Amino acid sequence: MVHKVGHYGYISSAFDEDVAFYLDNFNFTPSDILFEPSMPDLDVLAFLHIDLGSEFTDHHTLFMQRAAPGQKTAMHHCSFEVADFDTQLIGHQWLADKGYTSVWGVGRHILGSQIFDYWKDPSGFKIEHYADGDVVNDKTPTSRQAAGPDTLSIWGPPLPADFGDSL
Amino acid sequence: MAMRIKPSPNNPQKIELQHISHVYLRHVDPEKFLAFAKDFGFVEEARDGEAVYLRGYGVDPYCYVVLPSTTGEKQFEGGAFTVKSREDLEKAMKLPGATHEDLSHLPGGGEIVCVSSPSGGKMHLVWGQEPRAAPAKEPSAQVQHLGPYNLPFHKDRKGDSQKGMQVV
Repeated sequence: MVHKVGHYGYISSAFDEDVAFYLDNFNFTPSDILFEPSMPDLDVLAFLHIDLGSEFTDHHTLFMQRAAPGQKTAMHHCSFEVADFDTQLIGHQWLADKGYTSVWGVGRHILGSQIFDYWKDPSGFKIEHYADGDVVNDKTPTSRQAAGPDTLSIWGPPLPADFGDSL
Repeated sequence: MAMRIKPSPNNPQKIELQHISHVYLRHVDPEKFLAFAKDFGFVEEARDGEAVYLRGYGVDPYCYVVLPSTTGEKQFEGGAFTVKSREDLEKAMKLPGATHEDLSHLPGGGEIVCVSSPSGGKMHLVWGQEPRAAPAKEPSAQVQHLGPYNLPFHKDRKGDSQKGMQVV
């Protein structure tokens, strides 16, 4: 059984305007920012957390990814928390036995540390089980680094080539 | 062209979010999705018209709202966030295109404001929703007592078992 919704994310064709909308109107703060390796001044992904001051909160609740030229705005995935690693592996085998389509997982993310497991639901939406994510507060610095497969997982199956696409 | 994200420190003019509460998704075949949702670990909490409200075991009365597609394709209708005060909801109502709805007929009640980001992504702000009573312990625990991991050089779980739950 899942605990709660943890986060969702968009691929945005109006990335700069959307990020400004969320940062300027709400108490969102970037936890991690990724930039395009060939263009170090071009930010392409932002993991945003809800700033609750000194109170700790999930590493990201909303993320925005800059759409590639011609790519449309679309939801990337929604993510729901499960209790622990044991529950995740049981859930993975359970969904696999039922014949559902695994997208990526089980593995562990680097930014946010979550143990992740992505599935495709029968409608084609990507949906994630996660456990053991980082929590941050106003003392946690925002980090900025080059995007690339090495920023995504410390272990797990190889990253699917189309993972960054919307469905 | 520099397109770095500009820092935007929190200030009293901002709408203060408390936590993410639920997401809205439209499905071409909601019943087919609902069979998956049960396997994925959601519990059906309520139905209202064409909407089906799914929950987890946390404080949110529902965390996933299943709706039928209006276009013949799947559609994402945005995430909902609880706000810290009624004043924050009033600030949200002043954003361009904001709409307000009463949720008193749904689990937890409350009221909601819907706004759109510049790319057209929807976002919802919730106020006055009564939280569920969450269990003190995770109900899906798969071991009798999940203590610390015993690592090669640090055996912090001494004389205590991690063995799997007995299926009765």
